[in-house]
Amino acid sequence: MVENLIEVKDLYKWFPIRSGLLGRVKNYVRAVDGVSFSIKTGETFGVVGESGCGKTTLGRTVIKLTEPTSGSIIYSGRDITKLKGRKMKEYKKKMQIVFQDPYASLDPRQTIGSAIMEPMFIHGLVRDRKEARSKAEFLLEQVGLNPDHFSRFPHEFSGGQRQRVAIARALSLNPEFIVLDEPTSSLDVSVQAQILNLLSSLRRKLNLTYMFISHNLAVIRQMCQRTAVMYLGRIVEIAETSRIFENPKHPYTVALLKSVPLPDPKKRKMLVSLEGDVPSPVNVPSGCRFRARCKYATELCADKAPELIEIEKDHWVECHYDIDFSREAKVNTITA
Amino acid sequence: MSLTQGSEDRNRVVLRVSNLKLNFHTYGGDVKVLDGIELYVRKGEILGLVGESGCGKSVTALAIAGLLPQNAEILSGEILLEGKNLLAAKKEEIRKARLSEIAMVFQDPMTYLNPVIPIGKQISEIVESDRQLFLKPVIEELLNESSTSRAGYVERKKLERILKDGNVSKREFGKLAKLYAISMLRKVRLPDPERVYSMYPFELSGGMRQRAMIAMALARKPKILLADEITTALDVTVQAQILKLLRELKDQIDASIVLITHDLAVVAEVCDRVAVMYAGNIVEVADVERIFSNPLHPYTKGLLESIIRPDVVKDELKSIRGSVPNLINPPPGCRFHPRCPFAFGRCSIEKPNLIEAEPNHYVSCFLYG
Repeated sequence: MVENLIEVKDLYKWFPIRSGLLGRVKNYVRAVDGVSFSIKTGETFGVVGESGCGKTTLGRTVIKLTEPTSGSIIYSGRDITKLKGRKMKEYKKKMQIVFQDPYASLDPRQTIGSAIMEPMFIHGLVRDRKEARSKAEFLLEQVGLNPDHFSRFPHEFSGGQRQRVAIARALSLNPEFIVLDEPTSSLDVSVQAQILNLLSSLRRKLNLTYMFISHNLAVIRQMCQRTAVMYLGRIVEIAETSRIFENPKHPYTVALLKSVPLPDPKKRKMLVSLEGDVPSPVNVPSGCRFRARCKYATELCADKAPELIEIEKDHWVECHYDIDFSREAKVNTITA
Repeated sequence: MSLTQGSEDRNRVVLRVSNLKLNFHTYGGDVKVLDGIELYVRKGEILGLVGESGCGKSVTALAIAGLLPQNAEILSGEILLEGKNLLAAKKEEIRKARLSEIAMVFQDPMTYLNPVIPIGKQISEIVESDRQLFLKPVIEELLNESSTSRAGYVERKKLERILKDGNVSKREFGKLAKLYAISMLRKVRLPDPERVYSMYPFELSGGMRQRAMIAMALARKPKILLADEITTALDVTVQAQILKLLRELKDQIDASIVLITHDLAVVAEVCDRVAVMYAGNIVEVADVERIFSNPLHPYTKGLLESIIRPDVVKDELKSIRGSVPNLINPPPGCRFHPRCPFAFGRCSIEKPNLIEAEPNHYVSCFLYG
């Protein structure tokens, strides 16, 4: 078995902005702007960041739902960046995705059974309808739904149940790797826990590898072994999740952790840490992109963009300085 | 029943909702959205109204604000604002109440702001719409503000004169309304309020828009500010800014805030008291510390256990079995009983009343009598 299932090197995804009569490219939205990381086989790799930071684009680009602008994606030792057609199809079978909104990701006119069977037909995994049906029913049971619901339509299900259907569909091709793009953020609290439990048990049972994209730090902490923090198209920090929470090294990570409210009225805090909003990914600031909101920023930060460097083993940070946050970060470092 | 009788809180209660029952007519049948809401809001507090989607928390707020959709039918109940029943009031009284006593801020500011009118103008328009009603609050606010500014002295005399005469031309009031709007924008900590005044909603970021919405609500000097999921669409860092603002405003303004949210962490961070809703009922009300340290209702317990915390890692996440019932055919008796681990015979037959199980801690569950 390969240790790193996925290796991403220097990945860029820029979306052109066209305008005028001739549709000339005026500028680019730099959604993913030079990102490198690897995902180990069998782990849940978290990607966390605020809206517009490029985390969803990153997830889609890794499984090549969108073509990268440049950079390379290596899937279990093989470079799949340039693969097309039939060769790519083989890999697409191994990589699946579950989207955020189960109301939009299921076709309202297709029964859920047919939605789960369709990928199997496309990839020729089953001989006939009967085999597909029995497999789909097995999958429904596996995600905690009643196999009798096979011929029902999505509108007959609640949000949590629909998300289970979407998970069953992703599992229909026996994938190795699943991108989970905010799989629980449109669900209610009491249902969210059910889906997260399901995802964890499936990972263990089926030896899956997850890339878990979320803006919710609590969910990330619960689910992921390692986590990357994204800001404006770049990864600013990668480490083991417990390290990110207990010993964050990037000022943005610290600020993010400090703005999370805790469900405990005895631990109220002065929440605010960051002023202002995320800048536009069209006009990216020079130097370090976080500097406008960073209280530690100096002239060096404006002149030179920092590189992602390994400051301790397996702990990568993109910052010029090694700031001691031990007093600041305390609020969020209680482990049970 | 005791909620309406109230104990020592009586004089401090600004708003009281009692036995509010409400249906929505739909093609699929009548949706029994609210099933006898009992609620009161004290002066100057932040009350959190929490529950999952579809539990009726927004509808409760819309009913209070008088903004219910056409297909809603109120079956019974009272909404008393300082003793005056809004459900039985005359049209003109309701208009005044909506204009100056109850203000609401919504989840998605872009839907509620007019895209073709500058932000500031949308605020000054409110006070200009009723010169008599707003003359006093506008002048008082400006006097307050001018006392701190250097050029304020001459203005002060003029303002005091207008306040005494109670007479001001439409044009002059327009100018004052603009200054007032700017001072409101400043109050919600928008940077450079003079410039923001003439900006359009699309030029502002999500957090700034939400601040503008709050400014618009505060401009009316409301007694009740209904904040419906105001931070849900925002990023955590921006949410933190808005929550901080709410906490700061609480001490500066005269209003009670009802914060409607599904996020218990937000409640823990800013609220004084919490009302938990489930399927059209208030199931538990208590001080925020009590709700978190000693929840009584099985639903509240389940909800608290299913919270995923950033500071605690659990092996197995807990959740409440089943899902929210369809309110066209709600379960008989206690609406939570099909999901409740403690349900017994009586629960499926009779509906429990909201009773005071401990001082100022109300719960509607047969486990407590």
